[in-house]
Amino acid sequence: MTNYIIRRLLLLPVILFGVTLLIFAMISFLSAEQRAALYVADVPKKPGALEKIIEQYGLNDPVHEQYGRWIKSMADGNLGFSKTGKQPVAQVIRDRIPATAELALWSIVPILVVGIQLGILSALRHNQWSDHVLRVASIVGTSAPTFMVGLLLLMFFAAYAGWLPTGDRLTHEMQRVVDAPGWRSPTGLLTVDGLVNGRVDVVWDALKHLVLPVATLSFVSWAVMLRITRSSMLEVLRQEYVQTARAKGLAERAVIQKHARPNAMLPVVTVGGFQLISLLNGAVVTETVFNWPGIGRSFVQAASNLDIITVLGLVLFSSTLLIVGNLAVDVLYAWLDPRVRLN
Amino acid sequence: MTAGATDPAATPSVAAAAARAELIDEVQSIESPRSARRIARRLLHNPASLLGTVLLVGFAAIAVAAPLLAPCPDDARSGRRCRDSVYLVPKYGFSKEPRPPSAEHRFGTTTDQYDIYYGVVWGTRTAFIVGIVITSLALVIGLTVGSISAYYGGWIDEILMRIVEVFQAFPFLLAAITLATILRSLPQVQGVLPAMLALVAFGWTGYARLIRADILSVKQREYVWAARSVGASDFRIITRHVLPNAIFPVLVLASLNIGTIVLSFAALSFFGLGVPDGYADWGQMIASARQRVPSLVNDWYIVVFPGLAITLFSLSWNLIGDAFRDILDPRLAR
Repeated sequence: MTNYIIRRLLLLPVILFGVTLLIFAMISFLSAEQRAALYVADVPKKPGALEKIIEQYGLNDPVHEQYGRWIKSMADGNLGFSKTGKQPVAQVIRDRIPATAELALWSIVPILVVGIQLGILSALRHNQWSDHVLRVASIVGTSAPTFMVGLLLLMFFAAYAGWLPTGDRLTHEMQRVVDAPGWRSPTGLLTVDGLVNGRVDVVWDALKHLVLPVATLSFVSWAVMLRITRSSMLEVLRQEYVQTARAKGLAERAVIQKHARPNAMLPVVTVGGFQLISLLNGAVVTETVFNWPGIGRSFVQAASNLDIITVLGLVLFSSTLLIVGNLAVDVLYAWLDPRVRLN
Repeated sequence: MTAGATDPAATPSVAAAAARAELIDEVQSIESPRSARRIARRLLHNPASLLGTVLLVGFAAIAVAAPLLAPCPDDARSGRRCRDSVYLVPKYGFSKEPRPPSAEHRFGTTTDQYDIYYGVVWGTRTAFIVGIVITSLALVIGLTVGSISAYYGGWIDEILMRIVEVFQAFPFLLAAITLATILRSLPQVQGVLPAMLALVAFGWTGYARLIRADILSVKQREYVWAARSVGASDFRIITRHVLPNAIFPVLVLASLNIGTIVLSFAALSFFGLGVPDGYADWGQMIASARQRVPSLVNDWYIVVFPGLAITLFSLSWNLIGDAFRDILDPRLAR
């Protein structure tokens, strides 16, 4: 397994190189004027200004030279300039990450808890009616489009009942509190920062804004957890050590909790890890429906305004996160499973 | 038993592979069309997959009967668009206020006065076409890359599999949105094409890995050695001997994936990247609800009718797929 991890680490730069090549190939579709946004915030309207920039940054040079220049510029932390964000793309990412992270971290909790509990229940009641009901429900969950679920939740709980806000992270009044000077923001997560600053009203307001997007994300993702837990648990329950535990007269509760469940959790941990990574990559649809100021919404805004440099910058960021995150989850898996670790 | 699960070089991730291998193992236990007929019989005995099949047949019937169910209106003004192409939804006026269901508009109209009933009925055809075309194109690419990779092995395999990993390193929906956006800015690629090409470009990798794994196991069989010993060419061996024996599981998996593809396409449409305005497509109709959140309760029909269509459509594929896995999983048969 160590060999495997080492091989993966060695391949990491290769894959990253491939990703940059593919992204650069997409950049090459753009006109020189659009590509100028990689290096300068704005092309002045003066005649001849564009030609000067093309000359200065070699935007019509041979492709490999342009690629080299682009990589060098990225190594300096420059991902280009966002027209829709009116700031550098790297800054867009820094500004938007807290919102996305807060949504992801709050969503992963119900996804894991509900998915795992129901998955275990489903496995223990294998082929009984509750198992069938849960399975059909999970299939329905994976079949419903996220945007429809989000819009329906908005329709009932926000627009109709008026219990919850229709979007954003805070109401205007609370936003002013947060924007005021003196607001300490160590994490950027409003629910945590609110506590740090001793403003329970901000925390409460942020939580109210979180309910519907979290519900939407959970609704479309818990089914995956349920299915992986169920099949993993069914697999484990057939193992001989479980039969041994039963044979030696252990209570069924103890068999499940001590012998079956911990072993069934291995694949669950990794799938849960992937879920978290994909949530951190920005829930594009959910953030758009709920006007949530995260990475995903910036991405969609940029895409619909043809601000392709921003789109590609964000995609590069997300892919890197995905590659590194996947590796981290795999290492975690290897470390958790003694069969793999000691091999 | 699959190479994808045992050969670490081929897997970007142990756990993802474990999850995939589960499915692959199951699907690989089907080898011949004869057992396929047996499976089809069992599918019809399982209530969930029976429901799925009935739904799917229903959708197929709607798609076929679309000209009878939702004919182009005779009235010259509103029928102008759909006489050009049946997929252009008739437009009734220029008001920005959607109209609720009535005798004239069974499912109401969208914010731009497109008839929702017409869009939902003809959207069924769009869904089938989009799902089948995208899946077929992705299959062709995946099969080509996967079979070359598996048959030649060595550094060709190494390079092709790294390319597959690069494509898989992108978050699927983000990558598809990006490519669709770029393609749409090109004058040569218009209409439904950008979104479809984008979904194909990032959707073929799974098939490539699967067919590669299948071929690696078929490759060692005696009949392949026999063909080689009588001097058959590489191309002939691949197309006549290896592929026909390795392809069936991949075809099954691909066809069951159509529901997911239609969901992804709907998401692209929702972002305005799928089809042109007023084209008969489910995701596109819902997209107009995005601006109307405060009054969404009154405009529920914009979300509910097309949304129900998408959900039931992908539900029908998923119900069949789920039962399929169950029937094929020997561990669950006990």
